[in-house]
Amino acid sequence: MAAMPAKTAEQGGADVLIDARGLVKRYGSTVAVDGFSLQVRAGEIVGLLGPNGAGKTTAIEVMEGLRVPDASHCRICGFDSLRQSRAVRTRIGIALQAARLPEYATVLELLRLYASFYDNPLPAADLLRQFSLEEKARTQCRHLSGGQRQRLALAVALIGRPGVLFLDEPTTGLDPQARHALWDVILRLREEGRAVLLTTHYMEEAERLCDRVAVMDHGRILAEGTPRQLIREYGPEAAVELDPGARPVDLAELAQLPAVTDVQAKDGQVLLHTANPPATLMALAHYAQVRGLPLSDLRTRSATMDDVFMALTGRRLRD
Amino acid sequence: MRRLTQVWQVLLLNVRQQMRSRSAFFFNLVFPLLMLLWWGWGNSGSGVITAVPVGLVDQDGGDVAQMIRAAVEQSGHFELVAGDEDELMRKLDGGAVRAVLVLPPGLSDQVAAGAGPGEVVIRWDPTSFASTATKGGLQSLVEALDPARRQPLLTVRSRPLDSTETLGAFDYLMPGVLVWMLLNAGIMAVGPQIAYQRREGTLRHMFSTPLSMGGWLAGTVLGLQALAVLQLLVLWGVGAVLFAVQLPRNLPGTLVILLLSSTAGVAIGLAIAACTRHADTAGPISIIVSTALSLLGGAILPVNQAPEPLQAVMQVLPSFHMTHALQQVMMKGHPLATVLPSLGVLALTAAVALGLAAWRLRRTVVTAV
Repeated sequence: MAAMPAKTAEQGGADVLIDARGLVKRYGSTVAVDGFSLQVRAGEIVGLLGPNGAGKTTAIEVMEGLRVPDASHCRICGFDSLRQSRAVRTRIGIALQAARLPEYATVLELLRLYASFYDNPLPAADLLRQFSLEEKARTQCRHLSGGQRQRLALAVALIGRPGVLFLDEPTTGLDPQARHALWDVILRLREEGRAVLLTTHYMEEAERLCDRVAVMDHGRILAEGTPRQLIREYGPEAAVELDPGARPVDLAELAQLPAVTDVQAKDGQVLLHTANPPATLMALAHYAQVRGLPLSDLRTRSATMDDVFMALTGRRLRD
Repeated sequence: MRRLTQVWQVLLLNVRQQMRSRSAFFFNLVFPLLMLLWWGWGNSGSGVITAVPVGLVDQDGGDVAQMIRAAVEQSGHFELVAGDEDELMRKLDGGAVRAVLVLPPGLSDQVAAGAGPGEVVIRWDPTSFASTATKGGLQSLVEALDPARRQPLLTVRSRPLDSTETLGAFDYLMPGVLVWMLLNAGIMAVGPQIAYQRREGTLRHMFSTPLSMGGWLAGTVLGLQALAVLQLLVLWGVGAVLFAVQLPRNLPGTLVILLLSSTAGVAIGLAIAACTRHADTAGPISIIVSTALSLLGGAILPVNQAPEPLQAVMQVLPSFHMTHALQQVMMKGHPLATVLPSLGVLALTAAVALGLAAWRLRRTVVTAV
């Protein structure tokens, strides 16, 4: 993989390559981003989690210099993202999940196109090899599979030797095999000393890739830390999931069961957060027997980032 | 019954969709209404010109010349402008008169002596639809001057402007075809395509790199001009092989006009792509603008035959100036200096439309507000 640009790490003094403080963006009376602050260091992968409409995309676009904020202090590699936009754009790489690359260009043509935007681009042949796209070099983008497109998007993001990468849902829509392959690529970016800010809807992805995670909703960062820290701080000790079938259940009664700290119902499933799974399970079995509940699909599990997300936002990650 | 209900529900769905979509509502109802009002307003003006200006070169001065003059004036369709041949030919070239009737010396004597039908000459400008129509009307009128139809009193020889004498029928189509093609290549190809790239984030992604707006605009315009050049070569090639189309009389001048016209067309397409709020509306708007410019450019509907209020609109359209400049420079071989106002309109159109496109793209794509 390509080496970091020599100047990148030295810009901005320390190794903080993304330094956003107090970003605010309003649309009329709607506040899309409300005092957003985040720092990402060289060699660090930070995940930005939030439901749709939380303000993730707007915050990232302000950091990238693609959107004018109402208030902000944001420096990328030491350069002001708005006033020194051109300097910033030469130092960042962006893989937009929603953005379509020109459909009728071939892979090689596209890499050459983007290479032409930079002073010292990576050779297209190197990127083709690194992202296993050599056989698809002469294939038009519209004929690529989802995984190939995502790999190409990453290759395009890297062609200008960026120190900072913004990856918007880099593995959405991929099968597990393609997702894991792309994770390896992203982890290599960290080893190369780049700062990576990614958004994702996959808990497993956040836990696997991210050194730190920031949970965002209503334009604000609600919590920030390593996945383990967040689970320890915001997640329940454990959870019991059950499917009551067609029978109605009284959530208030379930909340009275021993050690239960919270009860939630969604999509026909009931989730009991508990501080003592064995005690809750025994009481639940008795409760079910008395009321004739089938209790099919009963599971216990440890807390996850999804539980953290639920606790912080009141919503599931993929809502 | 169930099937009828399904049909009814689907019908309601479609009607609601059309009525609730502002763009669909506009193009389904408001736009046709505007067109109706436009044409209604246009035709309520002074209408089509009824007295067509025609030059008269009377080198005979005899009874037969008097008879022809009286017949032309009494027809009510023509307004005679007397003068010498050179002066009237200049007026014909500039469009001030639509045809020139030349009555040669000795015409009356020849007819009076019974020495066969006398010959009159009609000079006309084949690059002008209006002149072509006037020539036909004049010819019919003069040839009908023998009321008994026993033997022809007069014969008519039509002779085009000297500068157009060697042009073939297909040559006259070329300005109109070129204008239509350049507008289509520019507006129809660029408008919907760039709007789609804008909607899909393709442009935004490109502008997240060091790519500059000027570089992108230049690449886009030049790329489409390269395509336009290819199209021109194909068009001229086919025309030369199949229809004996000639090379432009003023080749460098023609290339300058085509370059400016192509830039103006692409610029209009870019402005449409940048200014439409939704990408889906860029296609219909491009079709409407391209069609309107092609129809009102003077190559299909002659300016002089349009209602007066419409004439004023047509004469400020870039397509009108493309057609006019090509007729003068490509077909007649006039120097570029004779069409400077038209070149100015084309350059201004390109500059304004490109400026508008760049301004909008900067605000909505490069650094959105």
